[in-house]
Amino acid sequence: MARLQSLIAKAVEQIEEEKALSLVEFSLRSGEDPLAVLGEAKRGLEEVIAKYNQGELFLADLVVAADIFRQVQVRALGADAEDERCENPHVVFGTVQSDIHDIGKNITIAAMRYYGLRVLDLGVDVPPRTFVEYAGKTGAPIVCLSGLISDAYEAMRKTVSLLKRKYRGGGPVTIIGGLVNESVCEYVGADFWAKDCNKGAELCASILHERNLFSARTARKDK
Amino acid sequence: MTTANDLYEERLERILTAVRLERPDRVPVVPLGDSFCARHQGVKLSEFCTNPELSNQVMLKCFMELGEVDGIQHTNFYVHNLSTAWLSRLKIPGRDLPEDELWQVDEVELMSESDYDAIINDGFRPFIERFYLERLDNLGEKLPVFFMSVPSAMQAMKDHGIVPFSPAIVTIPYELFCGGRSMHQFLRDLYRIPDKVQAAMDVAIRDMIEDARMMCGMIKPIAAWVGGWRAASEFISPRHWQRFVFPYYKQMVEAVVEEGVIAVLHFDSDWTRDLEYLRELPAKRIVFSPDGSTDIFKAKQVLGDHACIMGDVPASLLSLGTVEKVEEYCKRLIEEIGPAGFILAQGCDIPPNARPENVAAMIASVKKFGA
Repeated sequence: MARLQSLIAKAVEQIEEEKALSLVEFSLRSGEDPLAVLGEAKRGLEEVIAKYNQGELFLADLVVAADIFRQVQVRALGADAEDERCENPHVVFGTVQSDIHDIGKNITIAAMRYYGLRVLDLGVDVPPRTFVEYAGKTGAPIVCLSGLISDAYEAMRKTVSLLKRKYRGGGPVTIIGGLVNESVCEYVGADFWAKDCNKGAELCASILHERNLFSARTARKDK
Repeated sequence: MTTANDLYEERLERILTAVRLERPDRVPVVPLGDSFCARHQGVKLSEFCTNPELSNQVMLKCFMELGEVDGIQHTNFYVHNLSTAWLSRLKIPGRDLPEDELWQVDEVELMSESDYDAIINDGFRPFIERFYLERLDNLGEKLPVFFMSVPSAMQAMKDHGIVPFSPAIVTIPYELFCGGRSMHQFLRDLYRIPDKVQAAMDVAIRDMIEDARMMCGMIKPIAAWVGGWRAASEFISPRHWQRFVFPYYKQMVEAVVEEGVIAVLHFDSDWTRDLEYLRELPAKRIVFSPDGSTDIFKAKQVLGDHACIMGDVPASLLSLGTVEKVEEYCKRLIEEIGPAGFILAQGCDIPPNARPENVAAMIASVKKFGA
C-alpha cells in the first residue's frame, strides 16, 4: 500500500486530478488510514508549492493542485474538512470597500487554509468599520486587506487607520495584497504587503509562528 | 500659422517614426485615462461611462488642459464594451453602484462547460449572440451606440490636432473564456478538458478575426489594442501559454497588421518570461505596451530592434508619487527605452485617483527630456 500512497503524492504533484482522486478513493475503500492518505496528497501539494516558489510552476498549477488537495480532504475527512474555520480565526480577510475583486483573495485564503490557518472571509466591498468590528469580535491577530483597483488604496488606508486608532498602535498585524507595492503600503500605513498569494499565506504563517500562536505544519494532522 | 491639421500630421509622423523604431524629433506621449479624465473634469462616472459622446469630450478637454499630448489611446469610453472582452456582467455606477464609484467586472461563472460544445458544434457567432441576449442582458442591443460614435470621436480629436491612436480593441478566445467561465473554473478546464477548450478556441478565433478585420475596415484606426490580461505568462505554465495563448495572439496580430493597422499589445500583468516569442510577430508594426508588471527594461533588451515599446508609468506612482518621482521615472524611460522606438504613456490606464500634477508632469517630460 505504501506504493499506492506514493502514487497519490505523484498524481497530485503532476496535477492529475482524475488519477489522484481515483487512487484516493481506492485507498480509502481498501481501508487505508484517511490521515495517511491525506498526508500523501499533502506531500504532492508541497512539491507543487516548492516548484511554484522556485518559479518552475505557475499560479494556475497551484490553484488546480490546491483544488485537488481540497477534494482529497473532503473524501478523507468528510464534508467537515471544508469548514470555514471561522471560529477564533487567525486571519480576518476581505476585499476592501468599493472593490469587488475576489480571485486573488480566494486563492490566498485557499493557500492559508492549506497551511492550517483559520480564516474568516468577510467577502468583497467590505467597509472599514466591518473589518474593525470583526477584528474586535474575534481577536484575530492578523487582518488582511485585498484590493485590485487604485481606489482601494483609500479604503485600505481608512481601515488601517481605524484599526490603529482603536488599538492605539497595537492590535492586529495588517497586511495588504493585490495591486500594491512598498509605496502603497507606506501610504496605507499597513505593516506588510504581498503581491503573491502563496507568499501572503506564508507571511501570515510565519507571523503566527513568531508569536507562538500557531503550529502550521502540524495543524492538519492535529485535526 | 500652424493649423490643427499641421499639428495632427506632425504628431502622427512622430508616433509612426517611433513605431518604425526610428528616432523622432522628440519622444511622443500618448496617454489613456478613462475614469481619471471624468474625475478631473468633475463629470460623474455614471454619466461618463454610459455616454460615448460625452466621454470623448471629457477626455479631450482633460488632456488638453494637462499639456500637449501627441495622441490619446482611446477616443471615448463605453462601459458595456468591457463585457465583450470578458463575457462578464458589470457593476455600473448609477445602476449598481453609487454614481461616482468606479465600474467593475463582476466575475461569476456565466459560461458552462457545455458552452464549449455549443461553440464547437454550432459555431462561435450563434453562441455569442445567444450569450449576449440571454446571459448579458441583451448586450448586443447596447453596443451600436458606441460603434456609431467612434468616427465622430476620432474626427473631434483630429480637429484638435490630436491623434486618435488606438480606438479599436480586440483580444483572443482565452480572455473571453477565462472571463466567462471565471478564472478558477477556466484554469481547471485547461487541465481537465484541454482538447475541448482548444477546439472551441480554434472555432472562436476564426470569427473573432473576421470581426476584427471588419472593424479595422470600418473604423480605419491607426492602431488597435490586441489586449491581454489574464493570459499573462505569470499565471500559467509555458506549455499552456504556448498552446492556448500565443498561437491565437499571433493569428490576431497578423490579421490586424494585414489590415494596415498597428497592433498594440496592451498586456497587463507580467509577460517577461515569454518576451522572446513576441519576436515572431511582424517587426516594426507592433507596439509592446506593458502595465508596469512586465520588466520594460528587459522588454527593450529582447524586443528593442523588433517592436516599439510604450509605457509604463505605474498607476501607484501617478496616484501616490510626487512630481519629482514621476519626472525621474519618465526621464529614465526616455533615456533607457527611448529615444528611438519608444512612446511614453502610463502603464495600462491612468487611475481615477491620479494626481493631475503628476499626469501633467508625465506629459511635459517628453519636452523636458525627450527631444
